[in-house]
Amino acid sequence: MTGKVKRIGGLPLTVGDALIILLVLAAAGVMSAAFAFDRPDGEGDRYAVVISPDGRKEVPLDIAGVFTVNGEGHTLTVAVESGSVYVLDSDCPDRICVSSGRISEPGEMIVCLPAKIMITVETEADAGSVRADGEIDAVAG
Amino acid sequence: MRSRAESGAKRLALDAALLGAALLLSYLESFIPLPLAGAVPGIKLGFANIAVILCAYLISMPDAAALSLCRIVISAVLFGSVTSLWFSLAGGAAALAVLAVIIYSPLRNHISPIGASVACAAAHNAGQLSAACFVFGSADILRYLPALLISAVIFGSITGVIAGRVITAAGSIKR
Repeated sequence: MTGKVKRIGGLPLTVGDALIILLVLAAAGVMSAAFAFDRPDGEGDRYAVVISPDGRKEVPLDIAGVFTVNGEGHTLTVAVESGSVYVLDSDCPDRICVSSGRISEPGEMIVCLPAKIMITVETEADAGSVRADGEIDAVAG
Repeated sequence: MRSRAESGAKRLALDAALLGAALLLSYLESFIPLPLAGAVPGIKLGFANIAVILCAYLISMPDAAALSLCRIVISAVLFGSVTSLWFSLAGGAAALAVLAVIIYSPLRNHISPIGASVACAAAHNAGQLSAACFVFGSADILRYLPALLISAVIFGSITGVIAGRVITAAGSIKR
């Protein structure tokens, strides 16, 4: 970089930098608004929807239980209790899924990227808002 | 500050040093726990991008592209899983595309490493989430993008300031 770039005031930012930052923040804002409108709020029984390389599985949230889900050589232990679902344990390297906590509302999700497993909550009224075609590893090749 | 006048050996050595730095930065970053890591998957400091930005500004864009590619592959082999490799590549490719646009366009003189870093970070997050959409067959995961974009601005600014200072310091070193 030559020294000829114009900076704003005392900050090391240039006009271009400020524009980029504003653009990214604006995009974030627009997307937030769009998602807020699309928020599912249907009535009805809630289900935990688990999408894994094996396919899609729906588990009612009003019945307590524990089950395992496999994906890409990893195993997640998922628990359902008191109307919420969470990952009890996982053998994936990051364990982000375990620290994601509980979800109980449509729109919330728990994701395990190494295992290619995603858990969301759906109500009967909104069934179908999360589409899974089962062909999970088309990209991995 | 293109390096066309630099010898091949010197350029290779610089690229290799930056690759080492990128891998080290990537490794160090994994030790810094981020508070929102559980709620927002994919949030990261992006320190390794400092080396890529340095390479793009001090050496050349093609070198930076090669650096980024090598760093992602080696880093995934050493620290990650095969699945994470594809997501990282998607993010890295998007970040490089944006960086190339900035470096090669007339805008270059109006954008400092800070802006470039923020743009790279935002592109990386967008690219990674888009790849995740394909993998999961669902667009729901895009709900995380707004939060990730905000983190891209914050962390991208930090890494950009660091890169900018190194570039300024490098410019004052006699060649």
